[in-house]
Amino acid sequence: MYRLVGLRNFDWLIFLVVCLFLSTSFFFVWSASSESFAFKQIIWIGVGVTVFFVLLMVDYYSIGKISYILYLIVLFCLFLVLLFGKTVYGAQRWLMVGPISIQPSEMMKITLVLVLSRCFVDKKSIAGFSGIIFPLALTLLPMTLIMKQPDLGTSLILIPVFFSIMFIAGVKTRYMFTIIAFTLSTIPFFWYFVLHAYQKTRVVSFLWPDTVSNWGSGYHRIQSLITIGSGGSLGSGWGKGVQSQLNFLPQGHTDFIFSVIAEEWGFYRVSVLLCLYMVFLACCIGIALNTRDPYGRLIVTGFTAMFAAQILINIAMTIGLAPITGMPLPFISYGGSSMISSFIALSFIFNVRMRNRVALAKDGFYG
Amino acid sequence: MQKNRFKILFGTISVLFFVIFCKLFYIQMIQGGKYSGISNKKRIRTVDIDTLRGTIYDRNGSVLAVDKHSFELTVMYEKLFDTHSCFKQNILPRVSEVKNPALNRGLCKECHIDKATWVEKVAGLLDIPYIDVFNKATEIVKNVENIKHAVEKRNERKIRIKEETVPHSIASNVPWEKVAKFEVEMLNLPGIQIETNPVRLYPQGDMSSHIIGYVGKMGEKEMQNYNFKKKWFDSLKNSDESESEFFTQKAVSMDALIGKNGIEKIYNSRLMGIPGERFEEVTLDTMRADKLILERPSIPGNNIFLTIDTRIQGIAEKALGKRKGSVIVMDPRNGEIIAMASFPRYNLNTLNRDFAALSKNRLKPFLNRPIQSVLPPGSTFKIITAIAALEENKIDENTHFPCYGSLKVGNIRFRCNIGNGHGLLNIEEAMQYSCNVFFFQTAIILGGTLLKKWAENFGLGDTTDVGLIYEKKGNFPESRSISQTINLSIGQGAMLVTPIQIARMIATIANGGWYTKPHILQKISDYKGNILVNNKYELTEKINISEKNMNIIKSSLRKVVTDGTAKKADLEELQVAGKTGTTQTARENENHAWFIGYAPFENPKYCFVVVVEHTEGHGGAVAGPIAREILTQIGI
Repeated sequence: MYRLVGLRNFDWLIFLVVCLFLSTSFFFVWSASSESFAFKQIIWIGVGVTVFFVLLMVDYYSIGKISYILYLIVLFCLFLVLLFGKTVYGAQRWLMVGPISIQPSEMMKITLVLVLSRCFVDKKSIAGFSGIIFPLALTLLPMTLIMKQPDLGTSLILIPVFFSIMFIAGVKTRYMFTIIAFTLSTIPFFWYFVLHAYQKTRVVSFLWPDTVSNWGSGYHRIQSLITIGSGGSLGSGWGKGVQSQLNFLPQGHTDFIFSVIAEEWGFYRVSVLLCLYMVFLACCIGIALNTRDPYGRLIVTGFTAMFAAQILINIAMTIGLAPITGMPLPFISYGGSSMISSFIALSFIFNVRMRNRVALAKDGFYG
Repeated sequence: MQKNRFKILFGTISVLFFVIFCKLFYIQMIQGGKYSGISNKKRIRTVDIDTLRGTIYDRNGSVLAVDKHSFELTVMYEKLFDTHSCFKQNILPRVSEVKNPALNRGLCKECHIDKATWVEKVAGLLDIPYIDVFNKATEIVKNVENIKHAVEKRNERKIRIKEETVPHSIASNVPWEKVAKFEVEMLNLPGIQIETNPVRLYPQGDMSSHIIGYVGKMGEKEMQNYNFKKKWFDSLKNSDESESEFFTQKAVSMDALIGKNGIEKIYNSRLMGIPGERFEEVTLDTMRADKLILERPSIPGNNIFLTIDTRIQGIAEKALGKRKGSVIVMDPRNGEIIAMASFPRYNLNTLNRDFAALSKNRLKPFLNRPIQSVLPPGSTFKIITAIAALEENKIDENTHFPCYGSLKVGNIRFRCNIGNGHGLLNIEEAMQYSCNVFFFQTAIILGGTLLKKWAENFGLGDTTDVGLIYEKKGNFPESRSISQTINLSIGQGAMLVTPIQIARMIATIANGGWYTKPHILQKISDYKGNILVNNKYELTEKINISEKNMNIIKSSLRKVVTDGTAKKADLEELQVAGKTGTTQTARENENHAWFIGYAPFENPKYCFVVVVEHTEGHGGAVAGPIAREILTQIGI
């Protein structure tokens, strides 16, 4: 089970790109908040890298085997959060275990990928619609729980993860469209019964920015736009952004770090950052494509979709293309939970690449 | 098939990235100018400009309180900080020694000489020891660092606070000769400025200090009340709570002076004026103002005119001397208070220094005695008893009661002021000699309820709304027994009134029953001189007293002065009519001496109340001469 693998198959390109993200993270967390946060971020990166290498030693198949158990544990934690969670910024997302605070919704993203992949690999017939019901239930249950916290951002991440795994697993497209149509038809229900008032105003302020006052819910969006826009082509230089240094932009070092980068680096350099993210995602998809193991392929697809969704939603939110939801930018935003969960996901992607093999025997054979 | 699906997946992601890329291009490259314009707008800082507080005048236009500009020496915080750090490392045994190259060869000249030499120059120009300047600098730096530390701790990040970027005052009240010297040297002293700062000045010193009141910085409580943003939001929710005049001001800077007592407090929002604003462009690096964009000048506060006459107030205060008590001189025809003296007083100009001593003083100098000291009115109340009995037809001018020096009701013996008694007397004689027994017998016929009714008719036991803050109400108790009624009839017992209530009472008598309202505010004008409020009071309401009874009271009050208890005070030629009063206190040999009255008795122009608290003598002997002195000097 703890098979050490050589570094022969280690993907140096992705590793280099991730290192670039991390150094960007260090400097811009510093610029957007302070030295002390930047050094705390280094500690989180250190923890993340350690987790990354430790998990790399474990065969992803052996984790995959216990994925249902993991799923149940995390689901239980989500229940606990709703009951005893610590409330920060009006949302119950943290579970206190002694001195450590755990965010089970972050863990849920990872376990869901594992368990959905497992589910689609095990299912012999995905030709019928009935085969999709079980994975759908597996997704919807944690989604509802996370939405109740309320953490709209994380719960929305689960949707692209679910669809991409289903898509790559070979589910017929008309089934997928059926699900999409069904989801769209439930939107009015969500609007009236599930969404909180502040979430509604965020959506309204996104769709019709002029109807809400500048200083209310639209404030964040407009400040972010001003921040990005004032960067121009070359930016104002590191540590010299007017908006971010004078505290006009709230959450500059966490969810809105992209705005700070855009202001201080300018369009050209931010474009490079976007290209790096593209390279990162392309490499991940390449791994999924090249692996010969269907389980590994689904895992990598799921994690890639997760990264892609996080990156796209976060950036779209800062440039005013999406309503504001709490969503960190992977590998760059300040924060322990998101950093660690990103590294866990990355570790699985590397794991699949390094243990690239054909499923010739049954699962137990490798044990 | 899977390969195709991967292509579709990657294609979707690429398209989304491309959309984001386009939007980013649009925001940063095409609209960049617009947004950077918006973000630059945020760099404009607004600075409050101090305004002058309104002036308080007396009825003749003499100044009672005024804002004067005083010169202040300010130094940029940077300079103070550098000096402080030099001082802390003890590299400056003497500034001039530091300039000596032999001594500081090892020190970095740039840091340690230039940054602290201003101290010596300033000390030289101000003529004070340089160590004082150092200490002041250290004090300021420590304060600012404390604030900075607290703010940073709260925000968990380094923050540049406003105090670090503004000049701080190191010397205030700089005389103009030294200011002139500074102006000459100014070019050699970058970062040091002379600023003008309004200072409240009270030209009359301790005169009428209780009426004028004083100003001070906003306290914790006032700040809470003031927090106008909160107030604004709250007023949206529940607007039924009436907004006090005190805090209707729109904008107030943190260290603005606000009225704390007296007229300064009551008319604070009128006196304060509206501070101006200056919009400056600020450089991000230094937070220093580069360019003045717009300046809205400040509007000075309104001027307040009081009914007080400084001359008569001075006479009254002098006549009262160093006796604890109060004097009120009032015009009965319109209720204007011409003088209102109280002792002990405090000097308004040195109040800050004296405050600790004053607040410990057992004589309670902060008590504004004419409106805040609650005392039993004593024999002065017999006027009310007499009017009540006459008006309710319980007695008339021919009713005679005998006085044998005391009266026994039930088991209690009530004494008269002469042990042998006054003999048989009628109402006029009883007033004249202030015979207690006559009024005891009257009270027994009259009863407590009617007595209370008439006392309330004259406004005893109720505030007069004279226009000063913290006025006491006093108390007129319900009479429960005959002995209580007897005590009340001569103004003893649980009855408590303030001198101003008695002034209102005697003014009503002087007017022949026309009710008057004492007031201290004459008019309010804005800084240009336009009159905004004109506080004139017309006599409109009359207490229903028959002319015959009024004449009995009036002539008996005159007889008090000519032949009665106040004869020794020598007030006859001054055309005074009045009534003495001596209230026993719980302590032996300590009375409150009252003398109230009006003059001239035929056509009253002034009515007055003199009360000396806790004195040995009697009303006529102690308070009477004070009244004589005042009236002699006013000139009837």
